[in-house]
Amino acid sequence: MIEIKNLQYQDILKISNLTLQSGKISIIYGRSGAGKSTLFNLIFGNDYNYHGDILINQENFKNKDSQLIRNKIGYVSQQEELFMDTPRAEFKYISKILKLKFDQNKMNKFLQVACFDLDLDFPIDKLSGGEKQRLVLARALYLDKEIYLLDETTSALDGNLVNKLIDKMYHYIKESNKTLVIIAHDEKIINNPKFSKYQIGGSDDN
Amino acid sequence: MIINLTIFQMLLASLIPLLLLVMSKKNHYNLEKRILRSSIKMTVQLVLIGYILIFIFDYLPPVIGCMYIFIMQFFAIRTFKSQMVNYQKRKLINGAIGLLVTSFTLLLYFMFFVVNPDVKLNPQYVIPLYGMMIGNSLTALVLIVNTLDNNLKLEKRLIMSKIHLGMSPSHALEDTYKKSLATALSPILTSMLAIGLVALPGMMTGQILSGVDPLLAIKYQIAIMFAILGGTFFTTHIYLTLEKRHLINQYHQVDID
Repeated sequence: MIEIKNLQYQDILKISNLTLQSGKISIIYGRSGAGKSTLFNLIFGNDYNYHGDILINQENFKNKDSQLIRNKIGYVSQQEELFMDTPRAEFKYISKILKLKFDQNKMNKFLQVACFDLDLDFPIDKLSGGEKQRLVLARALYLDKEIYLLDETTSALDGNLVNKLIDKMYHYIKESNKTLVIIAHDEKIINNPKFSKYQIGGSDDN
Repeated sequence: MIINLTIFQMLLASLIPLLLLVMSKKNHYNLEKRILRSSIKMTVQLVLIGYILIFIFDYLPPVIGCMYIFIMQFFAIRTFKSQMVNYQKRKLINGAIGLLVTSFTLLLYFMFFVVNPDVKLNPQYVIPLYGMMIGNSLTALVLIVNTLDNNLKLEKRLIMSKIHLGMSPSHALEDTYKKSLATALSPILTSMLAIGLVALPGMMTGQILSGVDPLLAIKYQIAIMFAILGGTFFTTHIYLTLEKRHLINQYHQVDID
């Protein structure tokens, strides 16, 4: 759960009260330049120069080691890179650099949640934009964080796939009681009745 | 005994750059200006330094003569500044600290422990040895500053992706640091591999030409190569360490720009 109280960051962002519940998918939307990505940046602890409070599972991390936040939150920005040549190698690599044991079942589970159904040895440089997005998403889920921030992670997917993906994510988040926050532009996602939606930078700022 | 070169013999040597001027003009290489400028600048600088060294060796007390290294430091830092592709004051200061601390410490170690203690403040030793150390460190420093800038720019997204997955920033920077350091140290490590087999280094050549026993010349050469290696390593290491403190703050937040 993320609770935001009286947040103000320069002239870019002002949020008086916002609670993003766990076990649910929360959608953040608003005009471009409204500060949606800035909000993620602040939640992820990249910048402490804000006024107000951001509580992450009831804990305030402001002016503490930002590594504590990174251990709890998985952040998928619009510019994530893949490191290796194949999906399998990618999962092995991130397991190694993050000192985790490579877990094949877990990998398969999250590739499924992210609707990535290509061969594990398929060359990554031949993946389409949407396939890369899904692999990046599966890679983040594999790390089993308490909270996920996804910034436009479904922008390159077509409508049917978005529905299928969102459905699987919905069930996974519900059963695992994690917190998932998505920045979206797509009307279909914003208006999905299963999600809680919050407009940023509009007339009422929560 | 070393054979003197007459003015006439020097003129014969300078026929080489003159020939290059003609060749460049003929082949439209457009190098005439640079060849001319470099040749003249080198000649004037060396003639000047010849007289300065005579003055220092013959007329100044040794301690004062050794102060000449401060002038060398001044020109080293000026060159460093001019060779930085993206000049920033912070980088100049961090680089200068690395260069000065390292070269000065190594010089003291070299003069007081490695070389015979009798000559510890003899400008005839201090000036050329210091020149070799700081000169090579300077090359490595210019390389590390520009390579690190470049690699950070190229790999910014990779670094940020690692951090978004939960890696600590200093861990996430490791690959970029490693790569930059390898580039900066590669000239000195390569030249150590080829030394003696391909080319005799300048200092040793000079000593042998002036009649020094080759076995004595190699001893000096080996010792100075270790000092140069140490100089390049510590200069770049100090620079990288200081830069890391700029890139990563007390909260372990990272700012690559």
